Order: sequence, then structure tokens, then C-alpha cells
Amino acid sequence: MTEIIKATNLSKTYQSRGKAVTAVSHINFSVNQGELFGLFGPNGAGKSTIVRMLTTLLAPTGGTATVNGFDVVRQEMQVRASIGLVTADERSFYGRLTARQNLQFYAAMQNVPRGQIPQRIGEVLALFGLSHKADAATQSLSTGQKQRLNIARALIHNPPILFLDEPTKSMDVQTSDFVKALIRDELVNQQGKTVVFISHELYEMENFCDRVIILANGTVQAVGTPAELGALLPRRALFRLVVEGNPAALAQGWQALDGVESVTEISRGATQTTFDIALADERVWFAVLAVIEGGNGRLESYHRADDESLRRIVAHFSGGELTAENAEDAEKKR
Amino acid sequence: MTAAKLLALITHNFRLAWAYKLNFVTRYLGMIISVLLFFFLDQLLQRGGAGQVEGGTYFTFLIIGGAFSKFLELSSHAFSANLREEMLQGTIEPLLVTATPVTLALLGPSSWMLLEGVLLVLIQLGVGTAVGADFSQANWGTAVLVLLVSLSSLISYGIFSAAFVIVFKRGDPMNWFINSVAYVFSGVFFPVELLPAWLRIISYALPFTYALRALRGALMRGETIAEVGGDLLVLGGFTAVLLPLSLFALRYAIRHLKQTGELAHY
Ligand SMILES: Nc1ncnc2c1ncn2[C@@H]1O[C@H](COP(=O)(O)OP(=O)(O)OP(=O)(O)O)[C@@H](O)[C@H]1O
Ligand SMILES: [Mg+2]
Repeated sequence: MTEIIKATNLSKTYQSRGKAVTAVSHINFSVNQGELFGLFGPNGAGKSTIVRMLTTLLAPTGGTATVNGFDVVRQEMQVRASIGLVTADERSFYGRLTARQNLQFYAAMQNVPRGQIPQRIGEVLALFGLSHKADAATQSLSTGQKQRLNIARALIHNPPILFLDEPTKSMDVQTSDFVKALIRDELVNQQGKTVVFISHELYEMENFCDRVIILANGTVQAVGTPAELGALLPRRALFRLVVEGNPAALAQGWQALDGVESVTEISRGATQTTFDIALADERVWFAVLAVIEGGNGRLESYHRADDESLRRIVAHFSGGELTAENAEDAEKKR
Repeated sequence: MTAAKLLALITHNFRLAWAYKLNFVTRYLGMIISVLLFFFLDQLLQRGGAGQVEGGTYFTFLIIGGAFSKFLELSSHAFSANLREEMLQGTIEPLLVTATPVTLALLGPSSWMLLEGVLLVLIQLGVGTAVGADFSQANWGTAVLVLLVSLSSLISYGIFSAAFVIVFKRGDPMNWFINSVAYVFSGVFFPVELLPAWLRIISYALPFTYALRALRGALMRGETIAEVGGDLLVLGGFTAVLLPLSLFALRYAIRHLKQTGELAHY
């Protein structure tokens, strides 16, 4: 497998009004050719900073990186010829000009031979379902349409590598699914492009990316397929159950068990009580059931209340769920 | 490749300018109206009994000053204004990430405005001639040479201001300098000899004074390259200092840009 992107000890410290802010610290990772690679992490984790260094917009303050075999500092023109970048800033068009005129300009600036420009524009517009908007002023396009045009622009010179920094931010669910299917089926599977996809939304990456890198505070927390990352976890579990019996006695019995992290009473009816029980290991569930039987209670119903998703993985690797408070902390740190 | 890109930049920015039709038309109209203004100023002067200025009519004198002031305005303003516009629109980043040298991406968006400036000046000279400006004595060869040397020194002001906009992300003092100081002291509308000697020191510290004097010498009195040689030499000296300095400032600005990454976030 060819490593088409490789970061070695890549670091970036911003100097902002006399203060040093380390956004990315000694990061090592590589992306294989033809891979759909996810960059995931909470706000301020350093995702955009990494992508801006890999796309030559920012100079690293330490380490090196190569993209398509070219050094991002010493061979920036070759790097830029190999990549397309899409950011969440969907305004970034000449509003009075049409989609076609905008693309004509960027095509020329990307060295697309004059003769091939019309054909190439036709292709990318068709791919993103924008052919009917070719001659509309871009300022008249909807936000989602502009965002699709944004991806079309990044592909105008048919680069082997595409960087997408939260491209689906302002798309509705259908559009986002459509675009992601295009990226997966057409760009990666059919055309063999390498795609680096940034998101801070988990559901976006789970059934989409080949591998995901989890970032927090500018460092790599974990890399792997979504399944591999899941396997690294202790088998924690959260159950919601409805029982008949003496609530106080049951709760006490459960709390005495090894491996029960918490017992929370959710609601109490005339005969039934609802509890959430968090377990350090899902196998403790059998001991939980034994307590009900031993106390002459009856299990009315239960279900797994945790989601077996990347959310847990992130919570695990970045030291806690992102809550309103630690989001605020993160804001203050900037 | 660079030639193809320059052409693309010019066509694209022409399209952009053309998209704002009213602006587009008023620029050309404004140029013609200023000829009228010069014409009546000249009439007024003649009524007062004054005839010749620097060996020609005051009208011719003003037409040359007006044309030169267009270059002044453009040189101080074009690079920074277009760059600011690209930054506000968020279009500069997609441009910087294309396989285009950074300097071309930053300055290229002004290519049409600069070209249009030359066109506007030619129109002004043409209309001026039609209503009585006298270029019968002109030595066009000398004029073109003077203009080329002047422009290379003027352009360094533009590069300075572009560097300023990149680093400080707001309008630059170069504009103020050109619009106030240069207009009054370099002899755009009246000969600098009218200024008291102590103020004339400022005039002689400005490259524009020499450029205008040489230009008027060539266009009004048909002076040869040898005759305007002194002014040309001084102008060349200004260029030799200002141009490398401005390029150095631009390099610094680009480095700053890559360190901070703050271009789109205006
Ligand atoms: N131009 C800059 N100057 C100074 N500090 C910056 C700059 N850009 C980003 N930072 C800081 O660097 C850190 C990483 O920012 P970055 O934008 O890379 O995060 P991110 O993972 O993309 O976050 P988000 O999900 O919010 O887009 C943050 O603490 C941020 O405040
Ligand atoms: Mg970001």
C-alpha cells in the first residue's frame, strides 16, 4: 500500500497576540492511497490546522509532511497541483458570476488545458447535480448548492487527493447522504481518489470512513477502523430496565455488586420502577438479574441504552464526553 | 503557464468589473467629465490673462496631470483594494490553494484594474486632444520611456500597500499618502514652482514630481531622452530603492500569512 499522505512529528504553534497556542503537537499518521480517511475530534482539536498545513496554506512550526510524495513546505506547487480543498465556507464564490464562470476561472488557475475546461466543468457539475445551475449567478444558489459547487470546484483539475473540512456542515440530511454516497462510490471506489474527511459529528464517519484518526488537544488519541477502535474499549454497558419489587432494596443490592458503576432511578409508578444501570463490563448484567430474582422482584422489560458508537470511543480517548461545561472550558482556553 | 494564468486573471476580473455595470460606466464617464473640468479651468485662467504653463496651455498641462494622477491612484490602490475584496468574499483561499505562485494569486486579481487604468488614461488623452490639448510637439518615445520608469517606481507603492493589507487586514496609509501629499506636492494640478521653497523640499522627495516633470517635458515640449535624463536618473534611483524594499515587504507579509493563516478570517 502506498502512503499518499504522511505526517511526521507535525506540529503547529500559533503566535496569537503574544501568546503561544499549540494547536497540533508532534502528530504522526499516514493515509493510504485510495483510502477514505476520517479526521475526528471535538472543536479546537486541531483538525483544520492539520488540513491547512497539508494543503500548504499554513507553515508547520515543527515536523514534516508529504502529500502525493511532495514536501508541503519545499514543494508547495506540486502539492497544490495534487489536491483539492473544500472548506465549510460556502460563500467563497464570485457571487455575480455564474457557476460556470467561477469554475472557468479556477480551472485556468489549476492549469487545466484550455481545450478541456468546458468538458471538465460539464463533468463536475453533472456529478453534483448542478448542471441546471451552470448559468445561474452563484449568489442565487442555496447554501447546500453552493457547498456542492464548492466540492465541484475542488475537483475541477481532477486531483488524486481531496481534503474535505466539514463539507456537509450546511447540508440537509438528504443532501449530505447524497454527497457522501458520491464521495464513497464515485470518487473513492470508482476513481480511486484518496479522501480526507473532517467532521466533529460521529454519525458522519461511522459507516463511511475506512479509518478514523481521533484527535484531542492537538494530539492523536487513536487510529483505526471504526470497528478496531471499538474493540479497544472495555466492554462498558448501560441498561435501562423496568422492574417490579422493592426499589430501595434492589438498588442497594445492585450497588453492592462489583462492576456496577452507577444505579439511577428514572421514574416510579404504582408497581413498577425504571432504572438506568451503568456497568463496567457487560457480563455483570447476569449478576444484576440475579439480584432481582434473589429479592423476589420481577423484570418487566429492559434494553441497552448506550449506543455502540464512536461517541463512547471518543469519550474514552479524549477523557470524557463533551458536555456544555467542558466545551466552555475549551473555549476559554483559546 | 504564467501567461495563460495572467490572461485568465484579466478576463475573469474584467467579467467581475463588467458585472457591476453602473460602476463600470461611471468610471469612463468620470474620466470624460474630468476633461471638461480641466477645459473650463483653462478657460478661467485665460480670461484672467494667464496663457502658458511650462511651455504649453494650462489645459494640456492639466490633461497630463490628470492622466498621471490616474496612475497615482491605481498604483496606491489597485493591489490592496482587489486583495481586500477577495479576502472579504472568501475567494482568496480557494485561489491560494490552486497550483499558482502565491505572489501571482495575491497580486493577479488587480491585473484588469491596472490594464483598465492604461485604457482610461489613453481615453483621457484622446478626448483631451479632441477638445484642444496640444501634443503637436510631443516626443512620444521619450514619453513612453518616462512612463515605464515611473510605473516601476509607482508599482512599489502598490506592493507596499498589498503587504500592509495582508499583515494588518485593513485599509492602508499608502492611500492617504498618495491622495493627500502626492496630489498637492508633485505638481499634478499646478507647477511645483508655485510652492514656497521650504515646501518644495517635500516635492523633491517624491518620485512623482520628477515623473510628471519629465512627462510634461516630453509631451509638451518634445524633450529628448537626453534632455529628461536627469529626471529619469532620479526616478531610476527611487525605483532601485523602493522596488526591492516593497518586494521584501511582500515576502515578509506572505511569510506572516503562512505563520498565522489568517487571511479569510477578516
Ligand atoms: N489562526 C489562528 N491563530 C491562533 N490560534 C488559532 C488559529 N486557528 C486556530 N487556532 C487555535 O488552534 C486550535 C485548533 O484549532 P482548529 O481550527 O485546528 O480546530 P478544529 O479541530 O478544526 O476545530 P473545529 O471543529 O471547531 O473546526 C484552537 O485552540 C484554535 O483556537
Ligand atoms: Mg475546523
